[in-house]
Amino acid sequence: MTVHPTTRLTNCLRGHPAGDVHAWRVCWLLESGFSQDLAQALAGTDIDLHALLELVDRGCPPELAARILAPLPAAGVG
Amino acid sequence: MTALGPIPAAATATTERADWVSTLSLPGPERDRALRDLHQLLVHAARAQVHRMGWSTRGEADVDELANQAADEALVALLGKLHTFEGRSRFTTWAYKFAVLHAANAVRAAAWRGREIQLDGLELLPDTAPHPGHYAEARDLAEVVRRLLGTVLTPHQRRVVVALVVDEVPIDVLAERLGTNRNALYKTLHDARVRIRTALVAEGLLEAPTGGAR
Repeated sequence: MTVHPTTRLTNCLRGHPAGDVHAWRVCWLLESGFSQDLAQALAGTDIDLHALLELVDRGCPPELAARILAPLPAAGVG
Repeated sequence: MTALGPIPAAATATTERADWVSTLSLPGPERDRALRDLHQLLVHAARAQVHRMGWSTRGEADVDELANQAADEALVALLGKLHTFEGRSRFTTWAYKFAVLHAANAVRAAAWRGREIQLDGLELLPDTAPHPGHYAEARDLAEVVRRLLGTVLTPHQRRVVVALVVDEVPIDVLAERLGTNRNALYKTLHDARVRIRTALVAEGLLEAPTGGAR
């Protein structure tokens, strides 16, 4: 049987209290190749992780994906 | 009506209100009264639904909280669609549906709140069947699908499919946690199914679709 266990993910999920959505978001980001700092920063925002991870799935580096989906700065253009 | 007790007096008193739509549409004290009565009716309906879904074991305080939350959301949704009421049923019957829907959603979401959504659930794919022949076929197919999940899907697609299909996480809950909407997840699920179906056809385990569709 050729199962590809995702033990890294399981360990990640075991490492935080149940129901901690922030930790859960961090976990999903870490599993998708984001650095710890970037995952922590993004997990606390309203950013759409699904859209973010779809970009990464298509080969976009995590940092660039985060920049693409980051909220636009407040409009101050005259 | 139910073991929950009678419908609140204020709600019954206004159940026969002649024209809910116009009363709710025009600002003034009459509208405020109608809103209070309607909310009371929605709470009653939501509480009944919460009980029906077995949530009463959590205690009356939890039931009240969920029912009130659902009633609040139902009231907002109902007012947003007030103009679509066509009078094909009694207004209170129409309103009841909003409460039932939002209460059901609230119970489902509450049931998942505080639970981990395990992403590593591939081993949960069914690999048993009641009869030996079915057992062998199901096991073979499950094995292939398990392999395809790991090979034809992108990592994010796989996590979404496992969460929704294997772990049966409600799509609203997953969407909320990811900060996205359910349509985006439906799209991902659809894409994943197409990929797996294509692979199964390629391996001869599924007949190629026939007919005019591509």
